[in-house]
Amino acid sequence: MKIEIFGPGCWRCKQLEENTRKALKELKIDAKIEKVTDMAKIVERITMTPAIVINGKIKAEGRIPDINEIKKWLK
Amino acid sequence: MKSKKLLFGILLIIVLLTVLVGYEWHGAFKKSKLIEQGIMPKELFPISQETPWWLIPFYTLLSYIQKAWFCLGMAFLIAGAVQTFIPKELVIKHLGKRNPKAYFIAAFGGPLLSVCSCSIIPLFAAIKKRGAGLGPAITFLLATPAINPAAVILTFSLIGWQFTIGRIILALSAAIITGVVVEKIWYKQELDGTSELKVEYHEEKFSLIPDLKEWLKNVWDFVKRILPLVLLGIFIIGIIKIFLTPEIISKYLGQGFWQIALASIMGVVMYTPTLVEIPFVRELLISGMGTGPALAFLLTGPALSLPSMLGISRVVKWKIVVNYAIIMWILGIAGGLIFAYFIPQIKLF
Repeated sequence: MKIEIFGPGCWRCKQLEENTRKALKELKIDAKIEKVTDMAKIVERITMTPAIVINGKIKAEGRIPDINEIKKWLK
Repeated sequence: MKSKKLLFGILLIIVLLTVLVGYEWHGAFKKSKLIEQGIMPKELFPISQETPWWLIPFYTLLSYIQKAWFCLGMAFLIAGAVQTFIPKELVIKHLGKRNPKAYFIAAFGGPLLSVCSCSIIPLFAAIKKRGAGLGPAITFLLATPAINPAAVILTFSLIGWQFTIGRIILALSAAIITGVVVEKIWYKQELDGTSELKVEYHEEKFSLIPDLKEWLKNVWDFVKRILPLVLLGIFIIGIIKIFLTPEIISKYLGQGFWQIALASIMGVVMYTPTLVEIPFVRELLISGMGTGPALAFLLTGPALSLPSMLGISRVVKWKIVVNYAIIMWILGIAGGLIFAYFIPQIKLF
């Protein structure tokens, strides 16, 4: 599974990363989170940060989904 | 079900606004009555010639907390409500097409989106590249920080309705004019819109308790993020006050063309954290700043700063950035002159 988090590193992006990490831990999935912080790369695909992309599909952008929501996508 | 959530949000915002305006009006009314009777309203933390210099920053901070806690609290509640209940997709959807209407949507809709300064650059790039093009993107970029709900509320409470109305009208016009002019100059070079602007739609159901919880969470997020910056900003204003005497302020920032030009360029270059521009201008106004320079600073201050321009120059040519900064500087001067013509003087309590 490929998990990408887009965001320049503000607190909202960090919160999203933390939620994702917790969701992975609760589901006991061993996957790496790839962080995309380069603005030029972010704007190629994302409209609003923070955004989470799982296996190439944008799951949420411009908001911080909670752990339960992320767990649904990870299953 | 989505519209129900929006409707509830609008209702909530109206109720909060009514409470706030009522409270402010009542306070102002009480104060002006006292002054009529010849009683000066008592300051809890008065700053006079005898105040030791090291106490000034603390007194400044405390007197703002005392003056603005209610309004600031309401501003956060309302900003959180906007974030929670007004779907961003509504605004962005309309920014997907190249037409003149996009300028107005960018100017009026921008403030309804999140005020997070780090999510504004991707959105700017998306509007430019996959949506309405360069002009509306720049309008969006300049209007959003200048007239977000919290800033409007705090302006009203701390420096009065004249500045609130002047700021809204002139900031929106400046953002739209800058967008149109930049688009005219750079249209050919920057035409790269091919793919469409699409936003993942998030199904939103209205259910009272979870939505209220989400609202409070968003409010808390705003408080956590913005309040420390605002408090620090006001403390620094207190430090600046030690060095800047009223004589210096009225000489360089009093009423007049060159004073307005200076205030406008200060706003372009300086980084002013959200909301801090308001107590900053209030303090300067009390110490002798003219209304023209004050409005010029409010126009350019929040919209532009060197760090934000550096960020934007990662996404568009730096020449465009310099271009819109210069236009905003000129429009800041024009706005200051217009405002000084209509409101040459203002009384602050």
